[in-house]
Amino acid sequence: MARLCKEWDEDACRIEDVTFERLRDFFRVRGKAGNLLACILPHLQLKLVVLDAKGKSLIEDVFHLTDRKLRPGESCEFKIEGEWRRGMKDAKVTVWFSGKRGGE
Amino acid sequence: MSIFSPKPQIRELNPWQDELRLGNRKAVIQRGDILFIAGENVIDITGVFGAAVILVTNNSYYHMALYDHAWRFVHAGWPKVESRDLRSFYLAKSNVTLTWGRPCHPDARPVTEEEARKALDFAEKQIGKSYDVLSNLSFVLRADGLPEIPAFLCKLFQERNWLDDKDKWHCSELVGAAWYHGADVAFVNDMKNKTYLSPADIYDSLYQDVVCTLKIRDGKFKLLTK
Repeated sequence: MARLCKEWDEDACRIEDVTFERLRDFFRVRGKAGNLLACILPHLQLKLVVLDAKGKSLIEDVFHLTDRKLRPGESCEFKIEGEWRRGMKDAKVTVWFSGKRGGE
Repeated sequence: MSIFSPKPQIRELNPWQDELRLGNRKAVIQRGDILFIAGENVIDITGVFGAAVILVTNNSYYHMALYDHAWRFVHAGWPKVESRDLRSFYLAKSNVTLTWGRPCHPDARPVTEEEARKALDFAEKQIGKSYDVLSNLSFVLRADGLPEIPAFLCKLFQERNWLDDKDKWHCSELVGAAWYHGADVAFVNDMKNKTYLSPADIYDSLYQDVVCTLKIRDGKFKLLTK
């Protein structure tokens, strides 16, 4: 049985299939995160950056995965919604690195 | 026409659904919808308790409730679970964000009127029970809480039996339990593991979709719709 990870960085997950769409006054980002580590990622948070056409950051946010114990090799889809702002063009999602965590 | 308008209005469409309207903007909100609350200068007691939640979750929504109808909502606030009116409780404030979210099933099926009724029934049965202060403050001891917390403390608070403890509630605990016990809707994949549930866990869940947001800035209203 894998143990909980105590520390991780941006390389902890593979982020794929990221889509960005506008729903009138909101944006929605979808994608999938897959655990690349040999330990369980507890309460993993991801960092979202929404960019304009020139690649400039318009907003940054941190959000949570629905699977709060992401086991080695497992993937979990994610979805985040927020207020649309003029100029939004694309989104970039990365792993929100942890500080040193407690756990098992 | 500006999307800013003096005051939002609610009109009952049927016993289950209301229409929230502001100027030419409108959204259908319904019983059992989740109400996420954020505020820049909220100084009520839920805002104080919410500070611990924001610290841990990095999410601006510090409080949540279940929407009933005709502006009323049920929430676990201080000092107890209660039914209140949004107009007097939040709409009189100068800077608040209220977002309605709608639960759905893992296969994307929308929740039904019957399921929403059961979730609300569960929440209404908790009215009068105490606010769970300890549970709220213990967010900082969650696995994703403050770093450098000793492992034994994290483990202790990571596995609190909140689903079966029905004597006291904090906000997201009540919303999560109402939908889970009432209609078998789970907002996270490990509901049965009894781990703490935060407003951010529910807002970011795959199993709820934002319906609309009512923003109040310096006393002016703005309705965001899909």
